[in-house]
Amino acid sequence: MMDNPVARAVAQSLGLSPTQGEAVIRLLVKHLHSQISPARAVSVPELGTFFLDENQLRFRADSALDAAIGGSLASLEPVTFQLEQKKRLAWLRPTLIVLCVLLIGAAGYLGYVRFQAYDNLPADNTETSVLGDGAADDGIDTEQGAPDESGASEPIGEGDPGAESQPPALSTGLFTLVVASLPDDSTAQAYAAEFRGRLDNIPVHVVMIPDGSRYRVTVGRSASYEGILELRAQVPDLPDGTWLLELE
Amino acid sequence: MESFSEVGEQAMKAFVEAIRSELVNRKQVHVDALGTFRVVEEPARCAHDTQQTTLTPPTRHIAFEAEGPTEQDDG
Repeated sequence: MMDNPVARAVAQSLGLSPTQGEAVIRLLVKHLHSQISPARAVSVPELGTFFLDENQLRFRADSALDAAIGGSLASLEPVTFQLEQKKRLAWLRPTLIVLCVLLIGAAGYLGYVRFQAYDNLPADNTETSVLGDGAADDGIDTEQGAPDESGASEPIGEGDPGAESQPPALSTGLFTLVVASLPDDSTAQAYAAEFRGRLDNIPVHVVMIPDGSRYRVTVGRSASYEGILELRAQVPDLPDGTWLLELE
Repeated sequence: MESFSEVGEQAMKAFVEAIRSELVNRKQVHVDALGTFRVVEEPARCAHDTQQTTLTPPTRHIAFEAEGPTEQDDG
């Protein structure tokens, strides 16, 4: 019984008996071997090429047969992804970090400059502003004011009156009267509201010292030392602790 | 290279067609005194290195394993 499918197919194709089919294949193979040498390969059309490599019989399939075997896979080609984009991201990440740091720094600087500039601008009567460093650390309570330790401010109603005729040596040109220094904003706003109620056309502000511990109620602004002295003389019923403050 | 046309074109065509048919349908065929033809499938692969990533699709090709020594030196 024939169990060789190739021999069976050859016999059927040629109209031979199974035994004759096997004999034909043996002849074909024997002839194939006889034709192959280290210097000569043998090509079988539509099948491939047989050749010797280090005395070993090798076979290289015909391209058409390879394509038929490969089917849909035969047309696929390897795909290579260059990691250029990943490299670009590697450069982009630290660049973004540096830019973010610079932006944060710039925003902080601008905020600082804005705070500094705000202190020198006329504020509306309901807003709390922040005093410059030179006006900090006063420790003054309502109705019991005391002079700031800095040379930029001085008490009113105390000391040598003649000394008030001369401005401080380091003048910034913007003066105000501090009538109270309170520990919280709401109290300071209420106190400022009392002054606004009886002082028309004179700005009254609540300003926070930079460390946020005190809120000063200021009355009036003047660009000159003489001007603030004149204003002080015009404002009635100033508290005893009122002192003059030069804004930075 | 030498063609087999002189050996018997019809017999050769039948022989080749039988091998091709077996490879396509059964992925493997053995020919006595010659060797075994086998369809080999390799899965897709993905190779990485620091510069690139290569995706190799699955492949299907014919491998041949010769049977015994050749008879070229036989008298």
